[in-house]
Amino acid sequence: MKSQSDWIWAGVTAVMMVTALYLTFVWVPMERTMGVVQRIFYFHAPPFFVAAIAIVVSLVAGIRFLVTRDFRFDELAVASAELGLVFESMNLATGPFWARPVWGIWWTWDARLTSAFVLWLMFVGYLILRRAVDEPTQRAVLSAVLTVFQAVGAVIVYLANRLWRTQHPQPVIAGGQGSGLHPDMWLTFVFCTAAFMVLYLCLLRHTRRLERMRREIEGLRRTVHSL
Amino acid sequence: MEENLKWLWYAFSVAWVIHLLYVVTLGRREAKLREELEALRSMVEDRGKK
Amino acid sequence: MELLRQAWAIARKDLRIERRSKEVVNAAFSFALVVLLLFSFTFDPTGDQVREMSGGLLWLVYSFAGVLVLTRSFAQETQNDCLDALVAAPVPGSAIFLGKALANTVFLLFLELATLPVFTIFYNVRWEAKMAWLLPVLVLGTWGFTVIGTVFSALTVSVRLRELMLPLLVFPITVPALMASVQLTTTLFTGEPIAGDLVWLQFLAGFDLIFTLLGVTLVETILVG
Repeated sequence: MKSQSDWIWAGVTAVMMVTALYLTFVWVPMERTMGVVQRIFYFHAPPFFVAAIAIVVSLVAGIRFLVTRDFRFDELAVASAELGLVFESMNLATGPFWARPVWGIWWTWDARLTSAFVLWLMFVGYLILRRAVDEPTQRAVLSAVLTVFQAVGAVIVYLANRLWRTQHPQPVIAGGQGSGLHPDMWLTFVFCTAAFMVLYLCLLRHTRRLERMRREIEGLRRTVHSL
Repeated sequence: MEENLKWLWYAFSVAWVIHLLYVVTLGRREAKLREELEALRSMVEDRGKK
Repeated sequence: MELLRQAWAIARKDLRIERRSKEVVNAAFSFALVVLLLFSFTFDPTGDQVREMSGGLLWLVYSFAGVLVLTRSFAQETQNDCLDALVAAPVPGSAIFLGKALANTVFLLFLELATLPVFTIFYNVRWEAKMAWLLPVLVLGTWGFTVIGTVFSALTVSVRLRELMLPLLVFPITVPALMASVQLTTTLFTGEPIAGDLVWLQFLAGFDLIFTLLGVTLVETILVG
């Protein structure tokens, strides 16, 4: 049953989201060149940053599990990874709808987009690995090690793509997205990012709870078998 | 301008559809797990009493 | 160094097994040829266009065939509890890892060098003296791929759907090494000066170093839990 703190978190999240919506669609000034479509930026970019934070949380939790072998860290790691996938999916799904009207193409393999897609694939790989291992300790250990490799890999992938694109100059696409932003736009962007972060934290409570329940069920099943 | 507005709505809808679908599946998973947890807990209790 | 001596012992074991059975390299080589065939339908292999893509094609073939070799690396140890014996042996996990990575690199280099003549014929590559640079590119590129592949071979050894999991997990991480190798190889095949691409060679070396260290550090955790 939903506890009181659940409702409080949901309430705060809702308030922030509604405010973010107002800022995005009503308050923030219209962008000169792209017009109304530019507003997609305010719910396209923030999920990416949340996903990036999610992977960092998952990484740190994984490492702390390896060190302490406390399963609560493993629960946090998978809970965060799942949300990372959701937010990164939002990021990837909204992007093409902005690109198509503004640049005439749905997608391009520049450093940012390629890295975003690789990040998404890494989340998928992580979650599939977890389903493929039954033994809890092994599952937690292997997942944690995977996250370490993926985190280092993700950074290197971004750097490699930057190097590639500096060598093969491409039409400047996402150039200066964050640069030259009107202060009102900055405010909206920061607030929207905060709103998505709060959403992440709110959902994290639930995903952690799910994992905790799943573990308890696993343990109980074993007990029942042994009785 | 109107033309571009539709892209804004598409993007908005997609983001929210993903979010809502996820929250719904989250809710269903939680309900299912809770059910299973209750069942197992009572099973352990019963066997313990025997 | 003691570690290297132990790693070499492990490598020799794997090399000896393969020398006697010749299973994996044959199968992987055949698969590489099949992939080359499939590519010929996707692209029209005429003239200069192909030379632009040649590096990419070659490394794709190597990657797909290489995955077969890498999956087997630790998987073969599951028979007769050999993996348990290895882990229980008074040899550090890092030695097992380095030894297997070494053996896998030898297998893959073998595969790559065997595929090159066929590739040359199918795609009309013209060889020049400076293409001797291809050798360090092959070695560095293969080592990067192998090191990560060997780690994940260990990681997925007792995981369901091992043959699917390994490529799914390995490829996103090896993307940078693949990019560097492709860039360098295409430059060599199209006859452009390699001087402009030396940064990629350095990048590849750095990549190899980072993931070798990471592998050596974490393999014990993977094997023992």
